[in-house]
Amino acid sequence: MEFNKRKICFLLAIILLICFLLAPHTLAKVYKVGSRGSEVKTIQTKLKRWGYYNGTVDGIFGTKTKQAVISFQRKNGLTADGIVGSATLRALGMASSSSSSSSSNNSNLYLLAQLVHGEARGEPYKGQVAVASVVLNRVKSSSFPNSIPGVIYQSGAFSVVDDGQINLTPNETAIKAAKDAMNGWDPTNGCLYYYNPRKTTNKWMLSKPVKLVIGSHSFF
Amino acid sequence: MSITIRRIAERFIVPSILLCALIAVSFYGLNKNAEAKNYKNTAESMYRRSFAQLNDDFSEMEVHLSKLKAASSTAQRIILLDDIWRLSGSSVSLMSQIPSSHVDTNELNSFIVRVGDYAHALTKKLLNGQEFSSEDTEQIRSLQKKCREIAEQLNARLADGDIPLVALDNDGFFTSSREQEDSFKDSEGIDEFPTLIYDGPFSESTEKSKAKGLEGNNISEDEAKRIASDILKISTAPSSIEFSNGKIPSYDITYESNDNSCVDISITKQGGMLLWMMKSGASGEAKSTPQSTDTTKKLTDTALNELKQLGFENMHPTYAQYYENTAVINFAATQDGVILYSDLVKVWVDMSTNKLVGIDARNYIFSHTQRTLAEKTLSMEEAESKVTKDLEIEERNIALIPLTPQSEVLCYEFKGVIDEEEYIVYINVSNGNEEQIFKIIDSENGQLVI
Repeated sequence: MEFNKRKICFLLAIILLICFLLAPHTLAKVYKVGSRGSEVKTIQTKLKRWGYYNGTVDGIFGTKTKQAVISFQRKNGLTADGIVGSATLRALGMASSSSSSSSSNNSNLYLLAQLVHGEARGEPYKGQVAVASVVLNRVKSSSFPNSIPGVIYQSGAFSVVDDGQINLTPNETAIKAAKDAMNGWDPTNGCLYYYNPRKTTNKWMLSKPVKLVIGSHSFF
Repeated sequence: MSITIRRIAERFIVPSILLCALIAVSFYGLNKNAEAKNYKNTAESMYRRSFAQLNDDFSEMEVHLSKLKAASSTAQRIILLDDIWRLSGSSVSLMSQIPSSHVDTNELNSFIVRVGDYAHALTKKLLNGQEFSSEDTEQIRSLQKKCREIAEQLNARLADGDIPLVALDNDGFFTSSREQEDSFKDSEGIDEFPTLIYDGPFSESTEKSKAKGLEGNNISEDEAKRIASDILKISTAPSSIEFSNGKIPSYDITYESNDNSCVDISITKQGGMLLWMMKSGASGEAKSTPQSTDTTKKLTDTALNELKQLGFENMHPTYAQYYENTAVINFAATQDGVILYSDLVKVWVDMSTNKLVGIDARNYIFSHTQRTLAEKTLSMEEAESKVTKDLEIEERNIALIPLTPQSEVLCYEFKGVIDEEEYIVYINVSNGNEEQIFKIIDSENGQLVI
């Protein structure tokens, strides 16, 4: 009896401690001497283009790369430690942890791909293009904001914006779907809304006649 | 001995650890609570700011609309219209920042967009030397009235502090305010916002416009299947066929083959025309491969050949984009050597196999008809003299370009270079007006026209 009580007390204490320690830790990816890979290659290419680096672009973070990074950091008012963390990545124009192919010059496309990834990953490819098309159809419609970020971040428009899933890194399929939609493929034939009939409770949505169904989404 | 240790542990150590933990957790909780409050305040003040500014914009818009009734000089009118256009843009962006759901703000949003669009159309009209018609004056009057109503309502509710500050689904802030007003008006609640008659990209007539390229009778599902299998040269039965009741009613047919690749094809209900077709790989997984630009000619020829087989004759390649191992080439229809830019067909070609993977003829079907072309009063040389001297002209064409969704103008097209950047300038064939200027953006993915 007594022993049990003590056990429970300790258990509780441990649980509380664990709860306390469970503050969210986010580990950002860091590139430093010894790092390898396509991201390092991109860093080198960028530094070379801007004249900080004069070695070979080989995808290996060596001392030469480190020196280039340090002078880049100094020029841009960052901590000159020769380590490429999230701040330096941002200054380099590379969103941290994104793949190198996600070009920084087209932020709208990337945002659209993020939405597709959040809303429709696991859907058939056509369904992913369809979700992107709904966004683009809204941009063209007078009833909605007239830009891609405006439509995506409109309050209550997309659940993935509310729960933060929009910030996930999109996979290549989502990026391709966004590109196909931007290039004009619209499998929805002009639809402005979609919902998942198994998840939605919105009476207004459910009361509207459905124009077509792709995967688990109904479009109208 | 061990019993005393146990007692000490029970009496002091465990409770004190628990107490410490409790204090720590409450401290943590209080901290988080304060933080949450902070965020809530920030969010709320942003919402309040948007509401307040929206209110300002409406009042200002109303003032400008009423001044427009008083103004008689073209210059003054253009200044006012320009301001209305700017205010409409700013209101729309504010509308998207307030925590009302899109279902709720839909109609008000399109009202604001149309006011701006209409103002812009009027500006163009005045710049072309035309005057306001009596219809325009009437429309301005009704817009001003509606703007005042909205501004007054919003103002009253802001004064009462009666604004939603929490994002709710379909909270009915704007719809309810209209319902209240309907009860006074004793109407069915359909014509709450004035209908505008004008020709702009957001005009109601444009949004409800019908496809011009559709000809012939309605076809059945079986006929659609037959047309699809003829185009794709597939003899197997499709895995699904669905009727899609979009802007252009069509049958969407999907074929799946053994290697997990699938083809989606859409055939219009009226006339059984190919609307779009898209082939996708196993799971739609994209492969990125480096692009080579020397194959452009080959890709364009492939696309042209395929278009010819599908019955799209006399197509003219305009611009192209390359991504994910695919080339997207845009083709415009031509009529007597005149490029019809509204009648676009997009063709996707796989860059490694040089095979057609997709086609989109929606624009073509929407606008393709036989045009009656305007009489040319200017020669190509005369038009060229109107183009800025800085443009080193490299290519000359005659093209029909869309000016507003409802109207097209016949123009001489001059492609050229200024400061190593490419531009296209359009000069009207009959009055020599500079109708449109495009800039070609050469991105890593190909050419974009802005």
